[in-house]
Amino acid sequence: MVDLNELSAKEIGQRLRLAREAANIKQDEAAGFIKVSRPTLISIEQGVRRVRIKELQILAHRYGTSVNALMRREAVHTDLLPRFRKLQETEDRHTTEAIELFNNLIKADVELENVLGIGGHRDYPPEQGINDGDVAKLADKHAQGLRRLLGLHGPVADIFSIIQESLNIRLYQRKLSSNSKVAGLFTYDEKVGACMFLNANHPLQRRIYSASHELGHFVGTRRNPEVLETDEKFLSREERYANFFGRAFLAPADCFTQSFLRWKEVTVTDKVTRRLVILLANQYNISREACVRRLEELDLAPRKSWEWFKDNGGITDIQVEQILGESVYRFDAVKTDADRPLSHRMSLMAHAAWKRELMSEGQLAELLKIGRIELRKIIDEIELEEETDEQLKLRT
Amino acid sequence: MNSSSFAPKAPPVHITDTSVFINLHACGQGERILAAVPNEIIVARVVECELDNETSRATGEHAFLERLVHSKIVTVVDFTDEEFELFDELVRDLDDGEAATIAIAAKRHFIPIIDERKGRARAAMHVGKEPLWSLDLIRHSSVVNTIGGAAGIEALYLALRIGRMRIPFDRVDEVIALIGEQRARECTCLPGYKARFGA
Repeated sequence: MVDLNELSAKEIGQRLRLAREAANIKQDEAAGFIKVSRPTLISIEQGVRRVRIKELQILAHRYGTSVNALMRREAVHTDLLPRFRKLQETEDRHTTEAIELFNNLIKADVELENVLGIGGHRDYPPEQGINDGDVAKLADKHAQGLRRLLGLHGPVADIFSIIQESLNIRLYQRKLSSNSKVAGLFTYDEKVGACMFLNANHPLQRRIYSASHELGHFVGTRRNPEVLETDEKFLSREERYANFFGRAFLAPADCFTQSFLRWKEVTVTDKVTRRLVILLANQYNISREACVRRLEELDLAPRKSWEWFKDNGGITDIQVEQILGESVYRFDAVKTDADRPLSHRMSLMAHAAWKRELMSEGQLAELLKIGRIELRKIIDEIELEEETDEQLKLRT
Repeated sequence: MNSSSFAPKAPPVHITDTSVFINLHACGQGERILAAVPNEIIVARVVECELDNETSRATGEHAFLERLVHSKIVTVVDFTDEEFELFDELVRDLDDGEAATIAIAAKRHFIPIIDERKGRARAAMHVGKEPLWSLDLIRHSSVVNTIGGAAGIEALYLALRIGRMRIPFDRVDEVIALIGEQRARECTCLPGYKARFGA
């Protein structure tokens, strides 16, 4: 009898190819592991010849995965790693760290959703394309189009919720190495949808800007994976577009100008003061630099105003604190979530999969790339909270 | 009748899953415990591979197993063709370590030691009897006699507190009686913890 759950030779072959590419292993080398010729390995990866269990076990180990991870029906296998790798001109440790983490998060998230039978709602606005016309104008037009679609007026209160809840983009905010220059990553894949990563080491306003920049890639050119770095020069058309988009989405010309003028009319001097920049940046949840640059862009401040500020002592954190008081220290829930070995959402999904015996401790630990004792701790914590009053039971 | 009929029967061979080594490593007395058990202790090569990853290297679990193998307290075995076939069937919904442990136990009539619920259910089905728990190793009479009562209790407490070892619900009272209520309160992994001790 045919087991409907059994993966076809073609599916296993494809998974093996993706696992090999993710491990950065050449076909010749992989063929050597199982003592077959390169053409035989190719026929295995193409599904012409079914891989034998002995071969599968050797390959899984060499590729840094497990037989179970290759055979699980719900497991997600993508070519994200090799696609991102192609972007890198030279191997960079920090970029590699970021894309590996991003890839692991996506795989775990999607598989847990599949196992639990949740998620899957995807109704993205169409990709706009950026081939023709002035990128700045295009970015502005697309940013305003998206704002209209989302019903946004004025400053964006919570861009992260918009990305996750309104646009259904997978958003991960985790910490990278302390000296990593990677600010954000974006990718789109038919199987997993649109995914965004933000470096949780960065301050809130920097992450807001990175998120808006990556949103530009989602709207304009979502088919190409992208890595955003802190010192990025925005040389390519795509990058310049995303950069303009980021600013236009967070600080749209009309309402940003209006806000500026409202502050200006109650300011005695005709100059752009530090206080004005601090108040406006705070209102729009953007950095002081982004605020000044936007004012320059909209001809509300003279060109090179930011350079002038920099040359004259900058706009310091102390000045911000003096003007905004304690409100400058906004609670940043993402930072505390990123300190956990798993995000709250991932922890709850892992617990649910374990509790319902859909996945074992070993399977989860491997998928989530954490130690088993760490996983047990997460499960135990949630288990302890589970016993609740009957009255609190959700109505389904 | 041949002479072997009069030879004392060797205790059954035990085959251990990955989580057993994690518990024994956490308890701080793993090497002494396994050395004291009269049964031969076997581990599937797959389990050894499962501990050969970055996380297990960082925690010291991989080195712990290496030491056990090096000092011949534990023997690593490879699959026979027949075992490979059963592994192939089991590994579709069990992790590699559990699938390998059950496949070898079933074909060689070894007694598996597995703590995970799903793995235990599958092991019982294929081996024909309930697998043992890590707890059974730690509380084995030979272990208690060899390492001493106090050290045995300390090992049990650390396996629970540090390793968050899984134990069966019907042995919670026995375990609490051994480690004492005060220390049991520190072991939030105990089944029914909240009902017994509150939050």
